[in-house]
Amino acid sequence: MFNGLLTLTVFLPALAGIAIVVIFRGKATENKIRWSSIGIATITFVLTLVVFFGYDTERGGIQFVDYYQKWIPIESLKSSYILGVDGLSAPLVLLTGLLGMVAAFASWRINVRVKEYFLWLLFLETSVLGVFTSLDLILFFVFFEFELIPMYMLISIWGNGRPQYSAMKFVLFTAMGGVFLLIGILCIYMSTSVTTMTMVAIPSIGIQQGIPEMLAGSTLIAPAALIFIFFLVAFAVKLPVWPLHSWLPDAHTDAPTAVSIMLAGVLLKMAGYGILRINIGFFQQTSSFNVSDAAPYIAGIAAFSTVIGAVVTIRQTDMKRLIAYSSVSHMGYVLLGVSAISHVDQKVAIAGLSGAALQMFTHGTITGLAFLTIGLTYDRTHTRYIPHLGGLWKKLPFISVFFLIAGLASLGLPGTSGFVSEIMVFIGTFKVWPVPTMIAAFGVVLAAGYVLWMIQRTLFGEGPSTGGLSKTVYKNLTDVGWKEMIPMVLLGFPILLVGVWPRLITDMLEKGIGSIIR
Amino acid sequence: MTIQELLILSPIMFLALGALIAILLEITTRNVSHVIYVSIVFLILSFLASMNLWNGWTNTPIGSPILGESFSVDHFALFFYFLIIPVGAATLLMMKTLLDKMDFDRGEMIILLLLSLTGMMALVSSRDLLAIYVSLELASLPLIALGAIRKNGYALEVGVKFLVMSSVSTATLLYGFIILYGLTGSTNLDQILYELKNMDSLTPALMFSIVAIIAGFGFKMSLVPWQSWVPDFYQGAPVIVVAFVSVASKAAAFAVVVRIFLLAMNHDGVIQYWIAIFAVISALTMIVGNLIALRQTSFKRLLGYSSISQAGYMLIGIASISTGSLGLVGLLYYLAGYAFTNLTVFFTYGAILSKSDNDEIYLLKGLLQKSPLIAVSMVIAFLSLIGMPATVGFMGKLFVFSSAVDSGILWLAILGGISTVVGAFYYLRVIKTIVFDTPESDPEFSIDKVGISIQLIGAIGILFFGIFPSFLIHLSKTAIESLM
Repeated sequence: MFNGLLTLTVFLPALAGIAIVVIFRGKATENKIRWSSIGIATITFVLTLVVFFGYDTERGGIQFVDYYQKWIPIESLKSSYILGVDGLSAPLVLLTGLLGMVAAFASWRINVRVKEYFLWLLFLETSVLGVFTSLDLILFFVFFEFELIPMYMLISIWGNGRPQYSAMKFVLFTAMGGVFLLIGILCIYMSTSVTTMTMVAIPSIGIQQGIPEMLAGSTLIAPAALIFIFFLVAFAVKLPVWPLHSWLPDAHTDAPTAVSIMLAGVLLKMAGYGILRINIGFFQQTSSFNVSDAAPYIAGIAAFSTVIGAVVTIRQTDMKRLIAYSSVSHMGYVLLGVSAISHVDQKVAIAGLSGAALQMFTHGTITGLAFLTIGLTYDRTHTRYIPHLGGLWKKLPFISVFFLIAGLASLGLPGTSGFVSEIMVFIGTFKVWPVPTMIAAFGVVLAAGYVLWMIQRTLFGEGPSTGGLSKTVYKNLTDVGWKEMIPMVLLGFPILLVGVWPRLITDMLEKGIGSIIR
Repeated sequence: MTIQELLILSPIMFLALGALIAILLEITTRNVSHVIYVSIVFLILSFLASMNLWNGWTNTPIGSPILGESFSVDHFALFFYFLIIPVGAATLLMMKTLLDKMDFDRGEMIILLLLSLTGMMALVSSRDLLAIYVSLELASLPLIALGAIRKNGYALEVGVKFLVMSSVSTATLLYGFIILYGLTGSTNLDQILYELKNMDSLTPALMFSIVAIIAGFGFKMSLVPWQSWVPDFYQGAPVIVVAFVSVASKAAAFAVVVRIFLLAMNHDGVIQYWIAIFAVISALTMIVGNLIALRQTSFKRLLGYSSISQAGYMLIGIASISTGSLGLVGLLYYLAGYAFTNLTVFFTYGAILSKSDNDEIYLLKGLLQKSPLIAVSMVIAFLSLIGMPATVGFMGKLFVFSSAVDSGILWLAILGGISTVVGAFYYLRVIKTIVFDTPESDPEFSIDKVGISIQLIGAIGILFFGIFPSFLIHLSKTAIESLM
């Protein structure tokens, strides 16, 4: 069975990127390169929209399946080429398409080695889309690791600050996580009870049993708890969870705007997706270990990570670094939502896990918008140092409005998507783990603190304080043009839309989560 | 000798004949180009003869032992013919450029190379200790001369070092062979297995013999602790010789080790013992190779240590032999992928910098701006050495690691994974130098069409077989099945 839509969606950016490099030559073509890359990102976005709205929530299950069996013809490797989406991955595919397009728009001001830049950006989009759509464990790993190459290039060539240090740090941390992931995958691979590498059962192509079903009740080649920890560590590096987070502030701060958007917006979600799909999906009924056994530890780590992240965030003076640290705190909620798995009532567990999944989607749009507006501000002021800024509201009204939206959504204001996802997480986990939930909820209070304090210091007031931004620069600040308006609107819209109409996504996510926890 | 036997031996015969004709031609005409072209013709003939045997065009029965049961040209041997012959051809083609550059007008290099190739091909098809020993000498003695061919002080030092260490390793190997012969009364691998099965347990003499054989070949395979010649040889010998040694010689050594241990040592009393030795050596090789490589500033020495660590990954394939053929299939795939990768790296490098002896990494600065095509091939090759997805390096590592997990040596797979990350650090440093740094000086380099095509074939092969591994895996599987 080969639907083709997903294969097209996934590989279009990379192939078109190569085509751009081949077709356009010479200095004069830079604008053409920018426009065609934006065009490709837009087409990809439209394709992801088709995937998202074409997904039949009533029917559920895996849809848009692309299946080709003989990818690696070794019997004992059991791997094949399978792409498909379910209720969990369809929103994330849409998120990737959206942020990919936003990132392409946000890259307009890149003027060094333009051609290479867009090639890597489009490669990045392909690899992330591949992670969210591949249903074969090996294929998943291939895409998960491939993303390192474009990220390394993007941060170290077009970054600022200490780009090469940050890029190397990012690669080494993530590669180390990748090793744990690979070992975990191989342990599952080699267990005699597993005869397929398909991550879920897909009856429509004759795969009646996926890995979760096969692991149920069976003994693995290594202790199941150990394999679970391998996967958890791999994804915890990427998510990131304290104390494995130290690559994140560096990579975010030094990356160019568009790459920060992609990094915070979708790359971190690969880890959350991995936890839901693999850690939760695989380890529910193995003979020696159940994921519920690990839930208290997960809840504890999550609460700790949330609060530590928030406390560190308050101390930041660089806007980008501040948002970066707040990601550590916010991704803690994802992990907290996951810990609801151990509740006996499935509805509550589904609420918590769907909250975690929704938190991934909303955090993608919110942080994307925050990085975008900070990038646009930085382009104009050439500083992100908070004490040097002030009174931006008067000179940059549009940017400020969207920055405010991102900030308020980030602290979980009702009416924005941030509120919905956080409340879902808390509802799901409070009944199971009241103490960690209360600790984590304190993170919301701290979030209000750091967000409002930053907004007050940068946007409001009479103008930059003495010693900060010079008067002439401040006077000459100009607000955004239409090209920069488009991405801001694209990101601001879903924040408010999901805030008032969450069922648009939650129905689908609950369906997806419901099939993961049986 | 029957016609059938002649046909079976035809690949080796063609090469030996080619070497003899090259000598005559070299003496009579003294025209290096002609000698190279004629040699290439013989290489092609030998390759075609191998293809004939593999596909069975002339219905020649292969696989059965011939010449007094001392040789067998089976699919396993043919796999290595397919690997070694193109490497030899590529080396010959590059040699022409090199000889022009170095103002050499003598063809000894060509003849030495052809003789060494013949030795390697005989080596991978021998199934008798004596035949193995003789072929090994034929394969490695020319390499000593090739390593020292430049005749400056440093090259001579390298040559002497290589000669001494090579002799010691061969002597050790011979000890191992002799003791094995003393124990079993036979030099034939099948006969040895038969005799070993009748012996009750693992005697100290047998243990010593196994260790000595591993030590002897460990030198050729550049394993720790017999690795010390590698960086010196890589730095001192001409680049193309190094490329040849790092690919062909290593592949042949791995092939013969697989054959000896799979044919003669494959019974329950012994197998756990040598598997444990290989696992420990593999771990040591990966750790030492990667850690020392971190501190290198010389590009060739870096590649030397890199090649040591890669041998460590390959050895995982042998160490995980206990649960079937996956590890060996992985090993063969890894070797083939490694051939593509290393040829790309070395020939690119040789084309850029063969004029000067200075080989610091910083000379690669800004290569991307100076010559995008070369730089991109180089980057692809290094990504493959790291083991990034979409390259052969990734698939190779995937296969050997999964076979390790399969046979219960989880710790080795984890160690391999961790040393991959360590390796990523220094490989990425080279990529960084090529892609990010701005060029400082403008060292002149010109790369001819032959060089460019070999590189491109290498780079495309890395990507193609990394994304669509099925063809290479099919070849490896057929090769291993003929052995089991």
